[in-house]
Amino acid sequence: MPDWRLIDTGFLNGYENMALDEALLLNFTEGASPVLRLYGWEPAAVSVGRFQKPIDFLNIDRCNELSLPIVRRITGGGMIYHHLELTYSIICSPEHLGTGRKPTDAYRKICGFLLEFYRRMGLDADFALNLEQGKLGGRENFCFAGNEQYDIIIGGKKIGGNAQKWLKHAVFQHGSIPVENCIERASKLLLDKPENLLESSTSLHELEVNESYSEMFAIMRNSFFAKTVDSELTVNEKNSMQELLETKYSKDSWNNS
Amino acid sequence: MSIFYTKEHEWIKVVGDKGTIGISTYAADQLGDITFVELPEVGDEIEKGEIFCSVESVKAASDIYAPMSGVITDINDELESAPETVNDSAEDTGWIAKITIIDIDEEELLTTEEYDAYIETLD
Repeated sequence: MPDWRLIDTGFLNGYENMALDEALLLNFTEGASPVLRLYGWEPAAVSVGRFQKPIDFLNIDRCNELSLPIVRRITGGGMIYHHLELTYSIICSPEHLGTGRKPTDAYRKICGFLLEFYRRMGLDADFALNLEQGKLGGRENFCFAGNEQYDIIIGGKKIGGNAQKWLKHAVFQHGSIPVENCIERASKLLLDKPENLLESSTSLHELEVNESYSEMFAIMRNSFFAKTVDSELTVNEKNSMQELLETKYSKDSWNNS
Repeated sequence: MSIFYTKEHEWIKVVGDKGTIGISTYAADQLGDITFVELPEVGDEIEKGEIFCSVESVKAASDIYAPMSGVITDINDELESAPETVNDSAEDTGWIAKITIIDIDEEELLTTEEYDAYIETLD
């Protein structure tokens, strides 16, 4: 197992964050070192899944009144309100995970490190698969409204969410770890609110975890399933991010079509 | 009629210069419950080995690659309301698109027997 590049890109805006995620994936060539990126969002932003149409479920006028950017991800899944959260992304080959090309196997491996992270924080976390969490799977407009097998549950409530994008040679997964629960703010942006939304999700602060971001980053690193080495963005990765920002992620034709 | 597969798990059924394209049963099983199919449009020109449509399953977005070059003449628009048909019948009613083949290029494609042997090596 090769060492993983650990890249802490700090807090960026939504367009920059999603452009950088895609830039890392596009620059990941066969034989390259796998990447674990840790980051945050400033200011708050809404991300929507690759195949969602924001106009179908989001109150766009309300987002505009709040100056809340809407950015489309390259991954599947539903809408997420990103603000007070830690976010990770992973760019690697299926071989780096020791799995085949089955998305659920990759979720099991990657979310296993999140489970370890929560447990190291003293939380009683488990996969939804192992608990009585009602119906798994399906398609929800709002990410935190639905449970997949390897979503993480603490005290009967879902924490965070994860999504993937697959290329011929690579798997990409990103996901959020909510520090504050932004569900109420997020739910006010939806045209139709899913039932029991506020009661079905939780956050680190609600679970009385009050470590700083830097402390949590350190715990995430120590929870990871492989050795990591500090790394910086390469010139190619920075250039790709800038190009994607200008030609794709700053455009309504990608974000809001 | 001939059927060919790609190593990326697409199939193409060829009759004359017409082709029907979908993903293999193996791929559909690997992907898990398919919840959305982003179909190409009739008239689109697709190029062998390039992405021509995408699917979503378990919050994962996956691209589907064209097994041969051609022009889309028909799409299975029933998949818009029933994407699970791909899981139920990937190599029959779960077809994705029909094309007029520009170049019947069998290079790098696998016969049914070769594909079955190939997927045996993946498990």
